Amino acid sequence: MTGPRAGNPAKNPDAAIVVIGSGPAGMAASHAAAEYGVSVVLLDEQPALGGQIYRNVEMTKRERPDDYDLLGVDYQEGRHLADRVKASAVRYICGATVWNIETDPLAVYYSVNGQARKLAPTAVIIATGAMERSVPIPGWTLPGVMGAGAAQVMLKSSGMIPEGRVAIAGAGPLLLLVADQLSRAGCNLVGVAETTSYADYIRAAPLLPRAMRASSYLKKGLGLRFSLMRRGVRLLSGAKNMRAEGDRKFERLVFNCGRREVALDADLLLMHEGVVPNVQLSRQMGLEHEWYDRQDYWRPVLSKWGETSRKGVFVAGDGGGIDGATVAAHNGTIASLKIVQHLGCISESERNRRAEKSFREKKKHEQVRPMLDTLFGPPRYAFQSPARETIICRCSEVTAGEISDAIAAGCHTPDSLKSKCRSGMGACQGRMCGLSVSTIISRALEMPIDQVGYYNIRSPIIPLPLCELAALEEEGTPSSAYE
Amino acid sequence: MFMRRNPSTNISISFEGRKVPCKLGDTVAAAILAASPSYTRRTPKHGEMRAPYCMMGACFECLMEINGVTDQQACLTLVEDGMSIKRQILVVGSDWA
Ligand SMILES: Cc1cc2nc3c(=O)[nH]c(=O)nc-3n(C[C@H](O)[C@@H](O)[C@H](O)COP(=O)(O)OP(=O)(O)OC[C@H]3O[C@@H](n4cnc5c(N)ncnc54)[C@H](O)[C@@H]3O)c2cc1C
Ligand code: FES
Repeated sequence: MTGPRAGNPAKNPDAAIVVIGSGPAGMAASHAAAEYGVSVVLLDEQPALGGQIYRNVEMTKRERPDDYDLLGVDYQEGRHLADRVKASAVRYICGATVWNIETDPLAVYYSVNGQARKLAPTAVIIATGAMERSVPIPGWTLPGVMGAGAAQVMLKSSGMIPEGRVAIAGAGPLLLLVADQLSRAGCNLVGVAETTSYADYIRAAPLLPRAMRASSYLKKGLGLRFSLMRRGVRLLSGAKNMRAEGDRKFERLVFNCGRREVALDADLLLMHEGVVPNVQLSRQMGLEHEWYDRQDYWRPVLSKWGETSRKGVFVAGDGGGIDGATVAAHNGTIASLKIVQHLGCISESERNRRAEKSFREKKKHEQVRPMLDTLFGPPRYAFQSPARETIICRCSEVTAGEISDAIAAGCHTPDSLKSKCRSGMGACQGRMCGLSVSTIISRALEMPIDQVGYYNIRSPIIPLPLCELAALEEEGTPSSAYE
Repeated sequence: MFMRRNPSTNISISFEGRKVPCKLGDTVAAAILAASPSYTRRTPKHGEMRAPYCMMGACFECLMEINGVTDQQACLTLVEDGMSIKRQILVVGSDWA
């Protein structure tokens, strides 16, 4: 376990801490460590600081004030964190995709502009956030079907909005937020088909008093609903059996609403069923994960400080479980404080004193989750038993029917399905189909999903030309062990 | 599929030989989506048409040929004046087929 010690680990010439991801979690983590004089490198594959929620916040403020206003205070908040990171000694490298993390000794491999590089830090914080849950319905691969979050990214990073008629479908807090933002930007929304039904609202109601302790979330949710209604946007709840239809491109969304069949003709369909942790790196590292069945996703097993099953490797933010941006930032600070103390830069009591506020705030914000989990909980997802023709693995074009047949033929693990049908073998390496495949196996075999497991994710986690790998210089200082 | 809230542009790229005006700071995927591309890649197995889906680096639907290099994630790449962008049309047997 122990690598050669290179003097004071807090001054590790590569970086004592490598933080991956510059969303709220990564920015807060980097800044907190840098404040104590610890060397930090912050890597993000995006061109600018911000992560998903604060995407491109600095440039939007500077160059597109109208968009900045439209995106609202929750977005504008991000600029404070970005300013602090910029003013600190954090070495921020944008356009840097991390594709491998080795543990013994700790090494982080990433590429910038087609060049592979390596860092040997003492500790790593993975703050790679969440991604929109895949929504496999028939026709979801047609051009003209996108994530609702993706449309929001277009607005945040490029000031663009959908042209023509837009249909929105799914569930979750972000769905209404995006619908509202697009509607206020003047988009033509032909309807929002919510998979949440009235029954879900009734089920969630008893959890309301507890959620009131984080009432700002509820006010926001209700506010969005009223805002959409006031604008005359058609809201349809309890949508089931969705399918996207069209010849070469999306043309209409068809679904059942009670006993009715509804068709929404549109040029663009935006789908969203909440977000799930992006576990690609934590999986590639072989860290321990657990199934969180209130929301149907995998998350890495973490200590109270965010430390994973591998000492010195931390996960902070939505990549460790979905709790939203405010909690993500607190988790980033908490993980950093633990590392800074471990490196000997602050005492345990100082660490605890500094972390106390973050723990307290975090707890307050987490109060709303049980209600959100119930309201937008997985058992009601209309997407769990996909029709046979539905494409599950977008990259290798594998349908639900092919997967079911392979299961019937004896492929009982995600990896055996991978070798049989090539699902999860394409460029995205299972990011889009991993959850669906585990779920389908679990349902078919009536086996708990944590027994089914997940694809074995191998590095590099992005398509990487061999020459790039070969050109990787064996530079780098040996890491100082986190012992 | 998409349009700019503020129509001003300051540079241009080429998409399949067609000149596409865009703005510094745009990602390639955004610039192309604003030019009504109909699709941006074809799948290796069935030749299905696809277009960017997640805009955040996760789905790899935006893989395109950028300045002659294939397998580039257009949603993570910023436009540069004069960049040449092509649809990615791979066949079975290529790396990610
Ligand atoms: C598309 C989308 C839009 C969202 N919009 C909102 C919103 O408007 N409001 C809201 O409250 N919540 C939003 N969320 C929820 C989101 O999860 C926030 O809660 C918040 O952004 C989480 O912060 P984070 O720091 O954990 O991660 P993120 O903000 O997601 O940041 C993670 C960062 O890691 C980077 N990254 C990932 N993998 C790698 C890698 N291998 N190498 C290098 N860098 C990598 C990403 O580029 C990203 O910048 C959105 C989620 C998504 C997916
Ligand atoms: S659009 Fe999904 S990776 Fe680029």
